[in-house]
Amino acid sequence: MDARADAELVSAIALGDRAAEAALCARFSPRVRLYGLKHLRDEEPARDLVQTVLLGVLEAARGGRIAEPAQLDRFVLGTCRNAVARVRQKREPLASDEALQALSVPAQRIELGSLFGCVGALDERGRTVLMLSFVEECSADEIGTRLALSPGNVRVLRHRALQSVRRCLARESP
Amino acid sequence: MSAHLSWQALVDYWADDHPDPDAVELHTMGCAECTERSASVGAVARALGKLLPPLLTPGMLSALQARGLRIAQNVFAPGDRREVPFPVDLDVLIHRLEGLADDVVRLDFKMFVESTGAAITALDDVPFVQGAALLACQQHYASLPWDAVVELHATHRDGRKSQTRYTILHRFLQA
Repeated sequence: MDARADAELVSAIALGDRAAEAALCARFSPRVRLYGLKHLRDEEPARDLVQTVLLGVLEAARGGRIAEPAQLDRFVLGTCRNAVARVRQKREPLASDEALQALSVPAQRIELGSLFGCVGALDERGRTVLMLSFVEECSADEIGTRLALSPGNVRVLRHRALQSVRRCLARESP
Repeated sequence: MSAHLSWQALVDYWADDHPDPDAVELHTMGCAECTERSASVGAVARALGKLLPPLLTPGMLSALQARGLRIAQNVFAPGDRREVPFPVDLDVLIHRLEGLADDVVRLDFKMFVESTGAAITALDDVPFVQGAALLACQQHYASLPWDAVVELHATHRDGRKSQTRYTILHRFLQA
């Protein structure tokens, strides 16, 4: 694994260092994918976002256009936001690059049958808070109003319930 | 935010309930460890978002539609007993269980296996829309017995009770 700092990678890329390019891609692929999963909600568009963003960042680095190399993370995040905004506003397809297609980030797959069982094992309040949070996408304030709880209590219930589910899934997985 | 993100912060972030999601994203973009922890929370959160309660509110259905899930609906009248295919490329199959009177104020739900009588689930005070209950079926229900009988126990405004029954024979199609 390349241990060079972000700023060193950017400088090396501007000098044509292909190993630095690969290191940058390896370092930021999981982070961009995570951003894509959060904002685009699915694996395929998240993968496309990785390619689009890394292409843009590499081009900027090669051309010496990253003004603050030490803040590469901010630059990548800004590129992510712009790419997602373009997708949402204009339905503009994300870019694709053959070389980057080989860069895969393993997805954490959760078997819904196991999840179904783990959620079913929660107490009713924890189960309700999780379903309202992640299915109906209600805020803690909204959930609190519906269940006569404070938003703070809702958050605590949600934290504990998700922790219980995660532990249950870990026990269930081979 | 320079210290690692807490479990609580990550759960709030993935629940769209963090006071400063931009700060969370900036931190994870610069922190491999927090990226991995956030991915772990996100995987469960995203999977939960795919896991539906049996009976849907109109709000839930709208939220699912807005998310772009592949949803199909089919209608059951009281007393219907019918085989229903569940295509492999469908995310949610909604059984619209019709026949509820306009004056129903509360609905309780029971589901059991037709062939054995074994109980599958029972829920009290479930959501319903005017005239119907929206029963959501997903692919992972293929592990349950295929011959499901649903009973809706309605309480009317004047206190009387009534019941409607629907027999749903699920056939989960293979790819």
